[in-house]
Parts: sequence; structure tokens; C-alpha cells
Amino acid sequence: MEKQINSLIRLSGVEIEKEQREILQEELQTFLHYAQIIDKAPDFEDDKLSTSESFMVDDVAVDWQGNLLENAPVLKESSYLVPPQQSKKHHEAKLEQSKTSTLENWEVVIGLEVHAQLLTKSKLFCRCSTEFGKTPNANTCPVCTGQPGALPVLNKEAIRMAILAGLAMNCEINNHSVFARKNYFYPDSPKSYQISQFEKPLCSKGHIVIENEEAQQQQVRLNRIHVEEDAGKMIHVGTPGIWGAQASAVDFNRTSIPLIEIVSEPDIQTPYQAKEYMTMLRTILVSMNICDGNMEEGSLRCDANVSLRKKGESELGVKTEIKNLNSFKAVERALEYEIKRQKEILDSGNVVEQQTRLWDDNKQKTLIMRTKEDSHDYRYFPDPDLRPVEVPAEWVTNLRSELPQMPLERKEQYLGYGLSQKEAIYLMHNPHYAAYFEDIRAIHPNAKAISNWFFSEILSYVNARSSQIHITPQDFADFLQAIDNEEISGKIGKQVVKEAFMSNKGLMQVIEEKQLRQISDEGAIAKIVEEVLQKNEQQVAAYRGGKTTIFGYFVGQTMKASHGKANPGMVNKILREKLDG
Amino acid sequence: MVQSCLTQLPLQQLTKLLQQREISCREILQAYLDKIHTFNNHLGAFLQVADREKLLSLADESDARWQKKQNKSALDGIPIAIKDNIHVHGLKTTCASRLLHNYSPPYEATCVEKLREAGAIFIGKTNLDEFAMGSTTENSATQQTHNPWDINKVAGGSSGGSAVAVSAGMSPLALGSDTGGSVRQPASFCGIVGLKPTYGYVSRYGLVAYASSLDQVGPMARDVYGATQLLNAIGGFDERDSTSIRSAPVALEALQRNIAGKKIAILGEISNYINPHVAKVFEQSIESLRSLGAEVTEVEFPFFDYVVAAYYLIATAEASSNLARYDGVKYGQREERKTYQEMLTATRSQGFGKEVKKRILLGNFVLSSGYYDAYYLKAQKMRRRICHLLNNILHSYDAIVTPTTPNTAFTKGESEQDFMKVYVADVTTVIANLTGLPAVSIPCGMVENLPVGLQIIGGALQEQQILNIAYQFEKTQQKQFIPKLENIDTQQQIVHKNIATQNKAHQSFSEQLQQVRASYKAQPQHSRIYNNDLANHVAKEVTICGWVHKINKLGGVEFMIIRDATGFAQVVVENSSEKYELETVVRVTGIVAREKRSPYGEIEIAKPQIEVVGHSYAAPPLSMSTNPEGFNLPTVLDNRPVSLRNPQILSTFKIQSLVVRFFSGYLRSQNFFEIKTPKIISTGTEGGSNIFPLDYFGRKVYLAQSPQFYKQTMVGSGLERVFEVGPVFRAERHSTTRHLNEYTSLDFEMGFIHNEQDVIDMQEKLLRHIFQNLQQTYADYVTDRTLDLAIPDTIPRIHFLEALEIIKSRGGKAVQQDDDISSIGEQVLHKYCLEEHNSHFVYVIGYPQQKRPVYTMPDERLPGYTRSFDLLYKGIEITTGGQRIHDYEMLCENIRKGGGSLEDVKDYLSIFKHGMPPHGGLGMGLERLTMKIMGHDNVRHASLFPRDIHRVSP
Ligand SMILES: [Zn+2]
Repeated sequence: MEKQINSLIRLSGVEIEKEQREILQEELQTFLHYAQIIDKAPDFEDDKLSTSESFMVDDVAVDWQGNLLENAPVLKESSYLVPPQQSKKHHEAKLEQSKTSTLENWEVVIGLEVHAQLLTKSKLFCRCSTEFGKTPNANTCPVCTGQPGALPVLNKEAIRMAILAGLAMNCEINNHSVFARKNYFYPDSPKSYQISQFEKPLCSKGHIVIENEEAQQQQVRLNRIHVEEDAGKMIHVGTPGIWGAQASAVDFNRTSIPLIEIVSEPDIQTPYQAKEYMTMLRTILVSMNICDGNMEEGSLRCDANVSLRKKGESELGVKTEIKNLNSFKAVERALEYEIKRQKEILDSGNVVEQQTRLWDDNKQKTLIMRTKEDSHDYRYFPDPDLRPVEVPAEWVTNLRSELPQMPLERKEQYLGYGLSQKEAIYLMHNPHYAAYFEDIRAIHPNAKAISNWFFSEILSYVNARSSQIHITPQDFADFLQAIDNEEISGKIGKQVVKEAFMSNKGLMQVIEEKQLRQISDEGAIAKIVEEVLQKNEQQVAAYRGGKTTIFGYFVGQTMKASHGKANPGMVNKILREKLDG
Repeated sequence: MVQSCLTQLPLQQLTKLLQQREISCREILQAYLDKIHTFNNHLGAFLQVADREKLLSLADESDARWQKKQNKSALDGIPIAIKDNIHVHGLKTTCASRLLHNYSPPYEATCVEKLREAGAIFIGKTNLDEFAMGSTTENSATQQTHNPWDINKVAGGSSGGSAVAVSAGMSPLALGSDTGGSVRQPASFCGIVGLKPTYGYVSRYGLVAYASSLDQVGPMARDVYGATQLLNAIGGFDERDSTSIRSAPVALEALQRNIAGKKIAILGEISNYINPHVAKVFEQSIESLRSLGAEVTEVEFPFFDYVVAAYYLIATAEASSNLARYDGVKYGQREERKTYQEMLTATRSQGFGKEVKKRILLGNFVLSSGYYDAYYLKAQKMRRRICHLLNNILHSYDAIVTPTTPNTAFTKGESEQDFMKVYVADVTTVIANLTGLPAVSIPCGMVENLPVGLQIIGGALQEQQILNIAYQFEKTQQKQFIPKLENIDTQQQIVHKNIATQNKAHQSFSEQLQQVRASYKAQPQHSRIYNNDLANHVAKEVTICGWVHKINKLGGVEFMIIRDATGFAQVVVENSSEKYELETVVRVTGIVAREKRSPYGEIEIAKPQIEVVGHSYAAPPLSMSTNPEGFNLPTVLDNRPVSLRNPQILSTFKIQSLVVRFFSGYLRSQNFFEIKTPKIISTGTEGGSNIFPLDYFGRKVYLAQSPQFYKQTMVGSGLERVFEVGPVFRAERHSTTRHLNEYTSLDFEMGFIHNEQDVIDMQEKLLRHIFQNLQQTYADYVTDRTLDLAIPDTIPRIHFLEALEIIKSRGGKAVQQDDDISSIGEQVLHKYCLEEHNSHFVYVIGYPQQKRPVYTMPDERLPGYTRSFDLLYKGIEITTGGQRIHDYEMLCENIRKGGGSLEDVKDYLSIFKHGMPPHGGLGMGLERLTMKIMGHDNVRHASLFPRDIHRVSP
């Protein structure tokens, strides 16, 4: 009992006097008695509460009076200062870099929990804007700072996006799901609980397909996708990092931004696959415009569970959870490190301890964050402030019809156009370029020509300047047509692209302004040739006298006279006719 | 017409009188405010009462609307008390908790917003059990609330304050919140009507949550009509509360309907829980219902045992999570500790009372892993079952009736001893919370002079049904449930006196109304006048106030000298038996008479009535009537709070106040804006070591040495001309007659100048304004001396190098140190200027660069010297000023040359980077100026509470 009361005191964040402890014990007995009373009640059917229509509001980012919130933050605090976290020592694993990287007879089991911020305008439970990079606590209101008496109201758009994600990942969409409170104390959690989904998530089961190291398609099953709110951000003063900071300030701008958590089954076997899985998830989310996929800004985050087991065994080994993986590279590196670490422990005959570890990108190591003993008791229970989410089947059907093409299908399509593997993969992971590509193709169907110019010219300028493509699909198509018509040569074409990017002009605009169009009018070229031959009577005589090696001279003179714009093929042809004819 | 006074009227009659314009909203409000004024100390209903003047002006607005028949609703101008766990704009929400004792909500509850739109007036916030956890209001961390029927009994709870406010006539209507009976049970204990609406009928947005799935805001009133009007005003769907529901208001005419034929159920097993006296009253009530034609039948409900069990498991679970947000990070009374965990635990342990802590712990137990299924889940299933059963009954019946509570009001302290008794007492009320059904409590009789309530429970959204039954039942009651407040405190005669005038039951209402009206219109006999105004009231009776300054006895007569802020008055006391200690605070009413022999304006006050309003328990340590020049300075300063009472000492600060007034006034007339800048800063302005470091949450910060950077910033902001009167801090270890470590700086800064001469011109005009105004007014404040306030037509301006020459020629080398002007040098200069220019003032211009901060504008004509100046007054420097560098590159260059880092001052530099006009300004030391004006020899005389190297108190 004493131990139980101590643990309750820790969970509750309150200390009580001795005599109160005795009263508490007595009352716990009363509660036990209550539970027994209820137990003794005659059996009855678990009839459901009358299902009430779920209530959601539109995604509008305005206050309740209808004013845009941008310039009118309700709360004025620029920061909420808190004392530092309890200092803990980093237990760094003292490990020599293992020489062998083979796994010998071990098998790796990886499961990922991916958090993706949804691109709604307003937050999940209030109407604050979700805009990134505002001054601290500019995007806050009584609801998302957990003021007494404030209540959450669900943003419908977040549910729409989460359903889309579920459909894209082949999930079952549950027409009845429930928001629950996950209780824990942390300064960035203003209510001291996170509203999440626990027993009844919005989406269950599902899978996505990735390509593994052998370029073979592999299915990764999903356990669930649920909707939850993000936490605030801690700004640590003093030494960087959570521990050892002198003080911290809390910025609640991020608080309550909608997240979906995508939980995979432990179907991933290598760090490479984990990275591919993440990449594929990102592509799917970005192509549906429900997440910006920016890992540096934390719009997409990943925790990984990893364990090792003897080959052939079916039971899972003890796992560790790795947090703070904020790039694709970090996912891969951290897992490699962690696998190596676990393998060494197991090889030496020891057992892996169940831990939560933190990836340190600077040290390229995982560090211990908490052990199983410190693990939280989150005391989940359905949030009484929110009604269950009822999703009508019709809504799901409509959303299903909105689904865009999925990445691997897209890749197949581009391979079918004759694009290289590399080009097809690039377009798969860059859906907005794929869309651009398709827009051009609708006007100019030669996919190969588009990809040649797109990958070797356009993209290199875009990447070099990390700019947007300013060339419209129509302009691009016209440009390709001009090349097809031999109105400009390939060489001139490259100059045109360069000039277009230098001056931020359209391709056709450059061609027109610089008058770069080739002369392909036979009469016009013949006229220039005529003039050239007249001016060079001696050479003509020499040629005709058998010195045919100077043919190139006439070509050169003609090109010069046409300012380089004459179609070289035609020049050749006409010169031969005139000289030889 | 009911024979009772204004604050005993039920709402229905108040509304009628308002409609007929027989009474005004102002009169209603004043009557209730007076009742609060008289009784709140005894009953403890209100935690806060709103500002009287503001309330009255709202009442006047309402009256104007009623007059034009444009009243916003029936509640326009009606005072309403709000339980202090519901947010009202402009009032604190404390939840009667230490933790939230200072919490001002940043928004208003939806139900309050709706009432505001209806024109209602929020008279104050009422007491409750901390965070609404309790059923006696004894768990309030702030104050006790007493039952007006018997102050040894509890008011009930948790909405005890609201119930008492209505019952005792301190507010006609009130809002409470009901989680397990918290509106109905105190309503029953206090003999008023309280309603818990259907869950979701009233938005919970802005109600501080206790148990979210059970909480509901409910109306409290003297009558069913009042509760109905209030319900209609607060009900309805709210898009800020996902659990609120769409509902129709209750039709008032429906209340009038006959209830003959209504089918009413009573729950058979309930008699096991009910006190026999209460049971008897309940039986009588059932007879009354039958007499109205209702069919009352007993039905089975074998679930009472489970009701309280399920309720406490669910309520504590939700509470533990709802109260987790009070972690000290965002609001509330934080206990500072080194780590977040420690801060959290200390804040919660010290902020919450024991009942709250207990319920949090129990709730976390219910939810914790391993127990959740056995407790919480089971309780929820039981809850569903109870719902099912009650709904089945209400399918066949129009309503269920029970006694609201098994007992009448508990004796104080009873709950502490036997909490189970209190828990079980909830059995009748919590069924409505668990099922979400509406229930109303209405007074139905008395047991041993304590009221008993009848509860009527209806089907979901059947408020109209139960209110109709309640209204008809109310009409059958012979008695009005109004407590006799005379009994409240026999020891306090003053209460009796007030009651006697306020509560004469034999007078007719209209007579009383006349009386009430008259008391509002009549002015107090005399409003107080100041001593310096007595000459205008000769031969009239006046009231003056002040301190007993001195008593002179002459023959059988005492001459009592009364001191106030403006001066003295002589009061002639004949045949006095009273002894007055010096400094006793008195209010004296008497006749103003001319008397040539009186040294105080040849006036005295005769036939005085003297009322002591503040006792003096000992003679003061310093005499107030002695010339303070005889005191030694340390004694004066050690006893500063008292020595300031000496009028001669105080006069310095009256003059100081005038200096500030004229300073600000003149600058305002010259288009200067007053600014207020921070005094906690991250880097020093002037650099150097004379800056106070400070621990700021573990960071090292400093106290500002001057508002320099911010002044300049504000010039650049486009205000162009700014000034500030504020403290500056100098960590100089000087112990002289001229130095203070904290002093008040009169600063200004102005843009678009040509050079430092514009700044000097401005100051000259400013000084002339201050000194000329002082000359005209000072005699009203300083009577013991004349002040030398001469200021020349032009103040001499001499260059620094010239000044050195003068000093050298007059005092030799001794007065010159480090190329600077020493304090002796300053005195030499003073003497020189007085002799040569007949001026106490002199400007010294053009200090060397190394003596001045890096931002000082160099003098392009004289390399190494700057466009800066000091103003010396009577031989002491009272001003430092100059033109500042306004060009970004020049400033950067100067800082670099000075060895400074641009990074350190990058915020400051950003002003200049984006265009800054040529500008300059100065700072003037208020204490030094006052000291010289008053002719003191030590600056400490001119500082209220001097801060020097040795002294930080008083
Ligand atoms: Zn918000």
C-alpha cells in the first residue's frame, strides 16, 4: 500500500502530509469497496451509449468572433519560463566501432512510428493558425495553452487528411473512433495531457509497398494511423539540450498542431528498408498535400523500435526505442549503430535492456534516455470533452475517389515512357515535378524529349539556384516544338535555357527577343548562299577546279552571313546543289 | 403585493416593477449591494464584489433602455452572482484555491457572454468548495460560507456562495455548477430554487472543469420563474463546446399549465437513505402534487448502491486529469524550485487543498495501469446501465421526484469527521449527473428551522416539463423561504441596527421603497473639506479629517491642531474628557469661526464632534511639530515612515512632486511623448563597472544606469521627442552628500536637432518654466522658509577648456584632476558665475571624448572633444547631456575604436542601421535638483527612501 501511495503521489505531482496518507488509504479501501459493489451487480448487456452525432468545425484559422487571428493573439506572454529538467547523466555506450558489419546468425526486426504534421490552416482543437516560424506564443489561445475552462473542438479538415492518408496506405477507416487523453507532466504539454487516439484509432491495418535493396517490391504492414495533437517547443537557455540547461522557455505555437502517427508492424529488416519506408511515406503524404514532409522543421518525425533475434526464431527480442530521428540519414545511421550495439551485447552473452534511447546526430550515437523502470503510466481514458468521431461511409467513398496516383504506379508509368530508372524514381519522389511533367506531356507528347531537357538542363539550373521553375508547361512545350521544327538547334536551345534562367524570362520570349529562330526557308538561305558565292568567286573556281576540301569554308561563310541562324542541314544541301549542280 | 422588501422579491415581481417603471435598475442594484455590504462579512457568500461605480453605470444604461422599452431581455439590469469557477471578463477566477488566487482569465465563459448580451449585471463572484470539490463549501481555501438559516450549519456545496447570495437577498439570481448536486443540494439547504439542466444544455466553455462528463452550469433563484428566465438566457448550442447540444428555450407560458394527469414516479428504495423528518416533508409534498391532479406512483430502482460508487470512480478519474494542467508553468501561484519536477510538485502540493489533492490521488489510482479495467471501465458500464434504467422509467413517466438531499444542512465540521456520510448524501443528486438528465430542486418545507428541497428529475431536454411541475408546486407553498437575518450574529449590534432599518416586516412594501429611495438620494451630511479651504466656509458646519498634530491646553480649553495634506486647523475643545494620543486620526465636524488669535489663518473650529477613525497606540519617535533641522539625519532616515509626517520634512516632497509635474507638463506642451522603459537590462548602457548585476532566473542581468538606448530607440521609432521620469541605478561606491545609488532621472531626448545647442535651448526654456511656476506656487506648500528660485535670462555657456582655465586661475592646480572638473572645481565655477553673470546655473560644454560614452557626437571643429555638456546648479552637476552620433557607420567606428564589440550592442545598432535623425538629449537628477531648490546640504534629504552604499531600508 505504501508503495502504491508513493507511486500515486509521483503520478499526481502532489505531496501530502502523513495524516492525509492515512485518510487516503482509507478512501482507497472505499474505492475498492465501490469496485466490489459494482462487480456484484447483476450482469447486463453492454449496450452502447446512444451514438451522438460527432461535432467538428471547419478549418479556418480564425477566432470565435470570426476575426483572423494573425494579428490578434489572445495571450500576451512571449514565453513561459520553466526551471530546467531534472539533470540526468548521459550513459554513453562505450563501444568500439565493430569491425565486422555482418549480422552472422542474427535477424533484425524494426518497426517505425512516424509522426507527420498535417497541413491544416488551423490547429487540431482550436482556431489558431498553424503557420511555422511566428514569434513564440503568437499562435496561441485559451484552448491550446490549456487555460482553465477551455475546451477542444475537433478540426474536420484534420480528419479529412488523416482519412486520405489512411486510404493511400490501404487502411481500414473506422467509422467510429475515439479521442483519449494521454496523461503525463511535461512543460511543453499545456494541459498535462495529450489528446490522442488509443483504443479506437481512425485507421487500422493497412500497408505500403517499398523497394528493398534487391530492387524488389516488399510490403510493410501498418498497425494503425491515428490522429493526435503536437506538443509545444522547449527553448533551452544555457547549454544546449534538455539536460543541464539553466532554464527553459516554452513556445506553444506548435501545441495542438494536428499530427497523424503512422505505426508500422515490425516488418522492416534493415536500416536501408527503414529509410526507404520513410522516403515512401513522405512521398505519399507530400503528393497528397497533407504534410510538407520537412524533416528539419520537424513536420515529419520518426521513432524506431529495433530488436534482434536468432535467425529462425519467431519470438521477438527485447527492443529499444530510438527517438529524435530527424533526417532520412539519421534513420539509417541510428539503426545501424543500434543494431551493432545490440549485437555486441548479445554476442557477449548479455541481454539487451529495454530502453528508450536518443539519437545524437553530432556524436552519431544513440544515448540512453530512460529505462523501463522510468517508463510512463499514461493513464489513457476517453476524453470526455470530445465526442466520438463518426465518419459516414459516404465521406470515405468520396475521399477515395480523390486519391492521387501512388508513387510506385507513377514510377511504372515513367519507365513505360522510356525514362531511365533514376529519372523515374526521381519523379516518383517529387510529385510536383511529376505533375509538371504531365502538364507538358499533355501538350507535347514526346516524354523522352521532355525528360532529356528537364533532367539535363532545366533541373540543373533549378537545383543550382534552389529556385522554382518559372517556365510554364506551355512555354516548355512550345520550345520542344521549335526544336522539333528545327527552328532552333540543340546548341542554341541550351543557350536559350541558360538565358531564360539568367533573366527570369520564358524560353520562347528569349528566342523571340534574341531572334534565335533558325532560318529554314529555302529561298532565304539560297539567297544568302548566292551572295556568299558571288563574293568568293576565286574560291568557287578553286572548288569547282577540284579543291573540294574547301566546302566547309562556304558553309562557314554562309553561317556567318546568316548570323548563325541558318539551318545548317539546309545550308549544306543548297551549297551542294549550287556548287555541284 | 407581497409584503416584503426589495431584496426579498422573486424575479417575477422585480421584472413586473421594472416594466411598470415603478423601480429602476439602479435602485435594485443599490439595494443588493447594500445587502452585500451589510451581510457578506457574516455570511461569506462573495469572494469578490465588482466595482460599485462601474456596476451603477451599467444599471443606468439598463434603465435608459427600459425607459425606451428597448430592454435587451427580461434580465436587462438584473444583478447576477457568478460562482467563482466560471470566467467573467474583468473579474478573477480563483476557484477558491490558493493556486489560482490571482488568476485573471483571458476570456469569458459562453454562458456569461450570453448573460452580458442579455444586459445582466455581474455583481460578484461567489464562494465554493475548492475547484467545486465538496458539498459543504468548507473546502474553500479562501473563506467560510455560513447558512443564513443557521450560521452553525453549512451552506451546502459546492455552489454554497451562490445559494447563500440568493437566499440572503444579496443577489436575485446566481449561477452555480453542478457535478454531483452542487447546485441542487445548496439550493435545498438554503431554501431556494436550483436547476441542473440536461448535460450539454448549457455550454461548459469557461467553466473550470472538475469532472467534464458530469459538470453542468445551472441557474439559482428565489423562484421557479427566475430560474427559468436565467436558464433561457444561458442555454443553447455553443460551437466552442463539442458536448453542447441544440435545444429550445422553455416557454414561459408553459409554466402556467395545469399538471393534472401528469405521471410522476417515486423511487421505492430511496426511503432507506432518507432521514425520517425529511421523509415526512417529502410525503407532504407528494400529497400537494396529488392535490394538483398528478398521479404519483412508486417504481423500482434497486441501484442506489451503485450510483455513488460509479459517481466517485468517474468523477475522481476525470478530475485527476482535468487538474493536471495546474503545473505552475503557465499561470497560477508557482513555487519556485531548481528543477521542473520539484517546482511542479511544490506548486501543486502547496497550491491545492487537501480534499483536492485527495481526489487527484484517488483519480489517478482509478486510471492507473492495472486498475483501469477494474475501476474506471466498470464504473462507466454501470453508468450506462443506470442511464438505461432511468430512461426506461422516464419513458412511462413525466418525471421522477425525490427529496433533493437525504438530510437538511449539515453541522459545520461534520463532513471532516464522517466523509462517508457526506458522500452517501449525494445519492439522490448524482443520479441526474450520471445520466445527464435535468433536475430541479425547489423548497418544499422545513425541518427544525432548516429548509428541505424537493427534486424533480425529467427526461433528457425535458426542462419545460419539470419546471412546469415545479412552478405549479411552488404555488401550493404557503410560506416564502426567506431566512431571518437578525439571528445571524447577536454579538454584532451594528448588524442589528442595519437589519432594523432594512427589514421591517410590518411596513408595506411601497413605504419601504420610499425609504430606500430616500436613502439613495440623500447626500452624506457633510462631505469632508481640506484645511486650506476652511476660510471659504466661515460660520458653516464642516467636516475635516486628519491627524492630531499638537494639543495645547489653555485654561479649561484644549486647542487641538489637526493636520491634513493641505495644512492645519485649530479645533477648540471645551470640557473634554477624552484623551487623544498625538497622531490619532480623527474626523471632526464643527462650526468654522473667525478668531484673530488663532495662528492658523485666524480661523478655528468650534463645537466639534470628534470621531476617532484611526487609533494611535504610542507617541511617535520624532516630534511632528519640531523644526527638523534639530534632528540628526541618520535618525530621520532610520524613522523615515514616521519622520515624513513632519510637515517641514514632507514639504520637500511636495515641491519634488511639483518639479515633476512642471517638467512633464512643459515637455508635453513641446510635443514630447512620455515613455516607460525597462530597468532590467542585459548589457550596460554606459559600460564601466558602476552597474548592478542581478540574478535573473540564473542569468546575469543588470539594473539600468540610464534609459539612454531606449530613449534613442524611441526617437528613431518616429516619436521624435520623448521623455521619461524613472529610476536609474549606479553601483558607485561613493559615500558623499551628492551621491545616491538609486535616483530618479528626468530624461528627455529629441530628434532633428542641429547640434547640442538645441538641446541646451530646450532645457533652458524647460528650467525657466519649472522655476517660474515654482515661484508662483511654492508658498502653498512651504511655509517655513523662502526659496531662492532665481533663474537668469540667459544661462552662461562656457567651453570645458575655458572652465578649466577659470578654475585654474581661481583655485590653482588642486582643483583639477585628470583633466576633469572636480567637485571643488564645480563650486569654484559656481562662485565665478554668480559673481560674473549673477547666475546659479552654468553650462559647461565640450567635454573630452575619453570622458564621455562612445555614442557621444565628436566635435568636428575640435578633435578629441565632443558636443556634450553638463549643467551645474549651485555648484553641483544636475544634468549630463549632449548630441549623440546618429550615423551607423560612424557609431560602429567609434565603438570599435573604444574597444567595444559590435555584437554586444547589435540591438542598439539596429536603430541606426535603418535611418536615424540627428538627435540629442539629457538626464537630470531629480533629487539633486530638489536638494538645491530646498537648500538642503545633503541629497538624502531630497530622497523619500534613500538608497546609498549603507542604506537599503526603510
Ligand atoms: Zn489555440
